Amino acid sequence: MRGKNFGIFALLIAIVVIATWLEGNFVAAANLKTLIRDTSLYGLISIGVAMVIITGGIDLSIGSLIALCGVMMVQVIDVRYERYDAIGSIAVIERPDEGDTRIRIDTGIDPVRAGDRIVYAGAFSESKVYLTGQVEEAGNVWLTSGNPARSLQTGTEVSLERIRYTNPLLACGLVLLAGAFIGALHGLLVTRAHLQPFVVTLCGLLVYRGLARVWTGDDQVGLGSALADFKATVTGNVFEFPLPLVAKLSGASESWSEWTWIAFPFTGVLLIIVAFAAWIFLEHSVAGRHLLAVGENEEAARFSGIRTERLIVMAYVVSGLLAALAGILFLLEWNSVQPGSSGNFYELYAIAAAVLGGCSLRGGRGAVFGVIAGAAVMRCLYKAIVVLGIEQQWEMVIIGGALLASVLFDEIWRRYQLWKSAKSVVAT
Amino acid sequence: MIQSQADKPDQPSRLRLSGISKRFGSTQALSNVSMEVEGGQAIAVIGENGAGKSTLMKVLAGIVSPDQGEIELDGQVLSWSGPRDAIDAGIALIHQELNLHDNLSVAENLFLGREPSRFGLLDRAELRRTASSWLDRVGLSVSPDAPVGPLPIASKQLIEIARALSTDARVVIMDEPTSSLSEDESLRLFELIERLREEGVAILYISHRLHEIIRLADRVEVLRDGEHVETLTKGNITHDTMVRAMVGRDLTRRSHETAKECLEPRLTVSGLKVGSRAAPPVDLQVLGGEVVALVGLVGAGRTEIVETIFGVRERFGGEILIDSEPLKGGVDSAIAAGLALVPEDRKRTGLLIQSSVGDNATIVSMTREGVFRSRKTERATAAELIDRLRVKTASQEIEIASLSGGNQQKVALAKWLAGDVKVLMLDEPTRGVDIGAKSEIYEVIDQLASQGMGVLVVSSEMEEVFAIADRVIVISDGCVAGELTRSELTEEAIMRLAVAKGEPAQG
Repeated sequence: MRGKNFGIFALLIAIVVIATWLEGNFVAAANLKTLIRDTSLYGLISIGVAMVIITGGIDLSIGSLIALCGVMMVQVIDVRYERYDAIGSIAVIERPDEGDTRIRIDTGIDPVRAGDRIVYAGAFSESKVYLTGQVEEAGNVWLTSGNPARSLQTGTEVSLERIRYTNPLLACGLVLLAGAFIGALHGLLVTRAHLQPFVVTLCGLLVYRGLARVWTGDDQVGLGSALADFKATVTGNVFEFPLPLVAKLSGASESWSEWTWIAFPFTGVLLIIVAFAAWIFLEHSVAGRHLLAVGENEEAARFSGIRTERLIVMAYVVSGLLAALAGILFLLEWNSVQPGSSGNFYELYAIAAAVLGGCSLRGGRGAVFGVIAGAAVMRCLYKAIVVLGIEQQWEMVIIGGALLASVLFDEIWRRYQLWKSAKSVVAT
Repeated sequence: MIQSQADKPDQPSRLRLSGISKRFGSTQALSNVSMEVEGGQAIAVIGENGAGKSTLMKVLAGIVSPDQGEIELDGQVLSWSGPRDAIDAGIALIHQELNLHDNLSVAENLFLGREPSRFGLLDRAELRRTASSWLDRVGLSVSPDAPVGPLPIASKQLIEIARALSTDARVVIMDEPTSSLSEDESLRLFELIERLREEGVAILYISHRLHEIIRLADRVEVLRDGEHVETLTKGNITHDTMVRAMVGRDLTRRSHETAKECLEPRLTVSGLKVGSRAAPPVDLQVLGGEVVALVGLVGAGRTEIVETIFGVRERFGGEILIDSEPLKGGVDSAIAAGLALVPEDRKRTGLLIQSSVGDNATIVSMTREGVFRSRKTERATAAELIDRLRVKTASQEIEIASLSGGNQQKVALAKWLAGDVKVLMLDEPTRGVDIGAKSEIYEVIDQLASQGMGVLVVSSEMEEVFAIADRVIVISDGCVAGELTRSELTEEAIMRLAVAKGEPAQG
């Protein structure tokens, strides 16, 4: 297993080196940031699927669950407007050359926040101006907007629509709970009803995709301008770290000694937290060792007093939970969900990452960092295709080919090791 | 009928075996076995577990090819390369294990591989017609179109029999055909056997149910340790003569410490229902410091009993006390209460065969460590256990699959010994284990018992029972047939109890 993990890291480095060699832009700061973000998103679902694969099962429902959880997040957030008619009229409106439009209303109102809007009678119909917030200056309260709102005149009577939505943390909690619940359902169907994991989660793949479409009437749904702060935090960067050489390699600088600061996204931090927890679980917890034992031989594990059913259900819960988390993150990243197509094939990317990372589909084997490296390999291949200007249609061919080559190499390596040890036995 | 053959002495025997030998690895399964069967005769083949009966039947059916020896059918020397040839030659084996395809219909199962066809298409009408006539013959009233899966085992057994007969066999071999039949069904089978004999078919009948043999057999051939040791002829076939012939030798007991002072009961099982609510209740007790052997014929239900006590099989009733504390269901609570089971099948249930020696040795005890593992403690525990049981391994990091059977078994036992075990159960603890490791395992068992543990050993090997048991409980057809103390212990006494219980009242 160590050899296998080593192989995937070697492959990852090889891809990065070759892609950089062919096109230095591959390691440009912006590309590296996207790579980290995408690897984190796909890495999260891959860790969940890896847990299930370790038990000897499979989870095909991930992609659909991502779409369903994205839709659910939109529905739970439930963006709506509360209207306050004729709150007053425009006292002053300023349109500086740079920066937001500033509006002052002749009456005092409760503080506004991003997403609120003022409504007034336009030339043909009602017009709306989205506000970004408010500033206080010398005792005056200014409402700000990114929109110059040319038709808005001093003295125009305006109404206010205040944005209302569920607390995003509460909504996240609910969606994660739903993901965990769906995972538990899969686990119970596998352990109690003795259905095959492939069948259970295949039904999940169909049902959740269908539910997402039914729930939205097959229309794209999104958050619009709501949750601006929350979105900014989750899709934003947490810190920056310096990398040597890439400035020169990507052509951003003439000097080899210049360092480049790479932004590290919030999703990356989430991945680190989840991966660390999963690593502690698999390598250093009793339950993790039990999970590997269940995957290797469920009967023998049961005869050793391991509560096999509980562990298997738990693996599916983790998978569902991480798919729900990914559903939320993808929604915030895209700002909208297309229920018919968002998350399509993601379960297969996740399974591919797990297999690349050293999980055996027969169960009993798997390591967290290998799985993340597997996800990184696929994102790097994808990015390389983009950067090198290869037509997008080749993406799946190349990723599929890489996966096949990798498992083939593993098998050949394994046989070579067996052959070598057999030879050494004969020799002694 | 028998006479009709004897009247023509120049006529060759229906079936003649001469000098059949077969070796599996280090075990001589059959050595130089010869016997003859005439058409219309029913010959019973008996012997202890592992005497070579099943191997002999497999040789006849072409499943196993003998190392030496000849088989003649109606004077023709046969050589075949597989079961197909044997069936074509007219030898049909009715397996002890059912070989039916659950998803196919009764008729399809009967004629699998030789379906009647017209123009290359399956002739369903013909299939149904022939199938129902064979079902009538064995007295089974099911539709030929019914799927086999949901049928009761007895019906399946009869379908097996019908399938064997439908090949127009000249020799029919029956391996424990009544093991799952009710008395009524057995009687119907005996009638069928009579009819086959009248038709001149030779019958080879294997059974542990001696009363059936007394009723059916013209002659009894006794196998022991792969050798043909005795032939009992009609008039000489009694319960006692058969038991004595099967046992044959006098086993000497291994020097064993004088009967230990019996402490309190460690394991008390009362009214245990194994397998179903309707099962006969099992009562047994193991005292601290005592080694109790659970013996019986293969299939008597010993493994099922220990696995039910351990909680891996559902308990359908009854009470289990460990040190007079009642035991709840589930393996984890059984282990917590101080029960341990070294199961029969190392590869399937005893060990994680792809994991390392150390991981296997600590998989049970690590549960007590809490949430996080301590590799240091694990390594120390594994090292101590490896040392204590003298497991021969290069290191605790290597895969357990690379160890010898004996050393694997020591690890399967060792994994329990890090904890506080009150009752240790071992199911066939020395199967596939070399002699050296065997005696080491016996030593460990003795030593654990002398420390006050209660030990319950399921064993099919008489030498083993004599070597380690302080007391023997004989199981027959899922119930306790009797108990023997060390002073009463003879192989004959065991056999008598093991076979007696299957005898129905009207005998």
